[in-house]
Amino acid sequence: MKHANNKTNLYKEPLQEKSTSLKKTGIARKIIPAILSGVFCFAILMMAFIALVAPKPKVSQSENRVLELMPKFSFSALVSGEYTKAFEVYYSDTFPFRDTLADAAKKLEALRGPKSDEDASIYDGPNYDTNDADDSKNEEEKLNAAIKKEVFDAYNAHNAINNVLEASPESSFVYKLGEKAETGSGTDTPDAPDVPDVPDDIENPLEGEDGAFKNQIFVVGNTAFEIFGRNDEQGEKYAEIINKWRAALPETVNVYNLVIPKNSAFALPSKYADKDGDQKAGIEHIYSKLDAGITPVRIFDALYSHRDEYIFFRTDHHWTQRGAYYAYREFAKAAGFAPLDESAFEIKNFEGYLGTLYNATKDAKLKAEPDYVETFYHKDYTFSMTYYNSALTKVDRGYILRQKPTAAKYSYGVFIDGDNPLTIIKNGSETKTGKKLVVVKESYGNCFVPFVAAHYDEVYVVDQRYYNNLVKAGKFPKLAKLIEREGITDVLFINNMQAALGGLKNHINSLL
Amino acid sequence: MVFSSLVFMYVFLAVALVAYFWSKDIKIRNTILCALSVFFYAWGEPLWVILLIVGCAMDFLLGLHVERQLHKGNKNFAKLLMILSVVENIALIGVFKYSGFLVQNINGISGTSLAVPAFTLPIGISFFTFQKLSYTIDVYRGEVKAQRSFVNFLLYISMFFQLIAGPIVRYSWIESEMAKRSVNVHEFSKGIKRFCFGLGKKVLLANVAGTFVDKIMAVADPAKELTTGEAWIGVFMFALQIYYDFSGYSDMAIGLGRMFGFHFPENFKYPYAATTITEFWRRWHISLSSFFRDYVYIPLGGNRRHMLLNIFIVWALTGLWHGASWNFVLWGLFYGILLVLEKYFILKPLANAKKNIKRMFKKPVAMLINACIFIVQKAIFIYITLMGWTLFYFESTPRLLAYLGVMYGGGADTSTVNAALLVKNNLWWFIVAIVMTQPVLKITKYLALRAQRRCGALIYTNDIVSSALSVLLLVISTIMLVGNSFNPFLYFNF
Repeated sequence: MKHANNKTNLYKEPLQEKSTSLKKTGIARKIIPAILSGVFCFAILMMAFIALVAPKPKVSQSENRVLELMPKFSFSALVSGEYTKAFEVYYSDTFPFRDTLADAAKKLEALRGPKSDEDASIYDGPNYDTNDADDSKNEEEKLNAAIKKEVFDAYNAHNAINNVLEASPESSFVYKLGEKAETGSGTDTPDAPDVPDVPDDIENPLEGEDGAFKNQIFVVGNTAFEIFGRNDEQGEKYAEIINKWRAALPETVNVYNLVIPKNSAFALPSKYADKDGDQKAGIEHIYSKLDAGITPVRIFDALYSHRDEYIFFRTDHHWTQRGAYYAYREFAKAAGFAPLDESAFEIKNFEGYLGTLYNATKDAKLKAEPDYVETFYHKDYTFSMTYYNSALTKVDRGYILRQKPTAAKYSYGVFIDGDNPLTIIKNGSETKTGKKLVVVKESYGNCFVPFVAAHYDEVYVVDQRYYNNLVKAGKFPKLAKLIEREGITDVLFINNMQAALGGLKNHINSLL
Repeated sequence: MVFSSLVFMYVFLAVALVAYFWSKDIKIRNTILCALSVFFYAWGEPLWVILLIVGCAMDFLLGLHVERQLHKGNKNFAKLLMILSVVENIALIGVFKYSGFLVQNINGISGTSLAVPAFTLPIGISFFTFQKLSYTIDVYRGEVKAQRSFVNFLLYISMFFQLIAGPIVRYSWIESEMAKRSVNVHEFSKGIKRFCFGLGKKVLLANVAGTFVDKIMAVADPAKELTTGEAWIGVFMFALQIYYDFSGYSDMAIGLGRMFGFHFPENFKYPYAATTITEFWRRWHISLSSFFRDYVYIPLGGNRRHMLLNIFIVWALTGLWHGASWNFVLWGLFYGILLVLEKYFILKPLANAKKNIKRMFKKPVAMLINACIFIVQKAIFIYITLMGWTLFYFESTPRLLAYLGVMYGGGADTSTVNAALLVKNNLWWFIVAIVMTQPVLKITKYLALRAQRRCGALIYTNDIVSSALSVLLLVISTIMLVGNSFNPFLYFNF
């Protein structure tokens, strides 16, 4: 052992324990290395063995998503390297004790920084499934997606739930780096009415709290936000798609467009307000690009004036049915019917709901204060619905709102049984309106649809992401054909801001 | 298949350990290790594994013939064969790595529109071509004997622990161990420790720093989205990421090598503990710098003939080795210039000044002044290093300029990234990541060993602590790998 008089000697060579001392102490000296070697080899071999023999999970309970499947072997996939890559993803996705370990990982990540009551820490983002109708995907990927879907549906059937638990694809927009919408750009549209002519004295309970980004999810106190800003370029593309639809439909059909702002427009504490883009102006920009034959439904101010009420979930990216109720009243104005008063509904709350944003962050404070799902049941109306589930099987129901969620975490599924390719709602009342509505929506539309069902004879609820599966299977014609065939009088495109600006708008285009 | 992946640790390594230690016969062990390594490469490059094997066969035969010709006294013919091997390897790396870059530049300069070849870079090509090339040169120089067994030669080139991310192993390092090596439980456990520490560096430090780098440096429009401070935090994070990624890989390679009986020299010796650029490059990716020293700089004439030119050639090539793009060349030359400046203007005067200060002042005063000099030096060192990594990060010039613009004051007033909050939320991690760039563990270990010798009671403490820490790192890293999909592979350029 050299004498390390000066510091540089320390770096030069790894310190050598003298081999003579090793011999002197003999076996005793070897015990610890032997234990370490044993533990290491045992751990590695044991996990490898368990991974080999244990049944592979197909669905992650804690993440609410379908796990990767064992890739199909083909020579071309092997040569291109796709096979081994897919195998690696599959292996880590179905690693033994995956959910337990993944939860532990979230807890460990929370240790990376100091904790205080106001602060939260940064966790990693969700693994939201990407859109399966993406045209850029090749056939094999589509096939894989289809297989995944099958597994998923089997799982759903098993749990007697619907695919609301499918982690919302529309959110994927926020998480893609580099695709982030610009925030607060200075391109305000001149025709955007001044923000807001509604009460301004509502106190925000989150005011004064410190927030933190969890990936792109911003958590302040007990509330999670998806911050995404404004992107007029994408907004124009959305308007263009709606315009194409207007042109494709007979002039006798009324076309409405309703863009739903996200909670970041209402509940962000003032010191973080600049993190979010101006959503009102963003929505107005979209509306300004709509053709004259489309009626825009403005709901921003209505929601803003009720922003102290429970109009958005705190742990989930959706709005609540109360939020949808205020939007429904605005839609009634635009469509020319009288909305029902709140007293016409029996309201029930389902407690203990932890939604997608909680699942993405596993934030302790979100968990401590779960959401509840407020549900509006019509007192004087009855409905029946027929839908085609994701396996494209026909299901008949005597209700549009479940009496009870199948499990607390699937509470958002009480509305029209979740996201299905096509749901046809029949109004049970004697008096006929002579009107039939098509609603093109993603999951935000689910809690909105029950309100409007009372004012039309029939409502065809089309999920923009999945309807074409029915077309491909030959069960239904393209949407425009269906509208013609069924004598539809009104068509509503209802999307949340993120779906409108993100990739989900392309699904509306592909319905054409 | 990267080392820091579940498939590697819990399938490949498990199988490799069982298969390797099945037999005690060195020939069988070599064959098994060779087969495993070729499989390992084929896993990542199912097609280009052919290139690896054919290339190895060529250099294997060339090596044998170089030696034979030398024995016969045909020095010139041997030289020709050696040059053939060099050309073969340069052609290999040239075609796959640099042809696209070259054609783009030709098109750019002369206005032609030749089709730009778009090869996918076979993993590790920059490492294994250099190893093959150094082997035939070493045989020609008579520094090593040619390997007689193709399996052993293929094993030397493709050894899975160093194949994809280095270190660049010289044949002379492992020549004797190829024929005879033994692994006892002591060595094996040291290998485990080294592997686990490397794994921890990669998964717990590099990958996390990488997420921050992605958030900050990869923003679409830095001028609108980042403040000046955040831009610097971003580069700082990148400096952490690239060091921990690189050195973590080297640690894992060294550790795995040791588990299988091979001893590789250190590749990173706490580069950020340096205070001068000269020192930095003595500690950073040592196997690469020494490769360029021994096979480019010295053959060009070294210090004896047109040294400055040699230095710049070496540094331009060092830069280019890191990726086929001008920013890497720029990065290399940036360091070349700084090294020349230090050599001529700074190192000697500085050393003299320090000596004079010691002579002129009383001890406490001299120490204080030298401490101040140290702090200034360190600040300059950090500044230069960060500038270097900025050049290294951006392959696109407009993006580099935009980012530099933000670093030098042109940032946004408010940011969308919120890097301050990011640091605050990860403060403990950040502190650990900074402290671990310095040789704290090494010093602790040294002190512990010294204490251990002096007082018998402590005899196992060092072993127990480091073993427990290794297992802990293995467990935590596994958990993080399961829980997190962000596990970038930085060597796609090499």
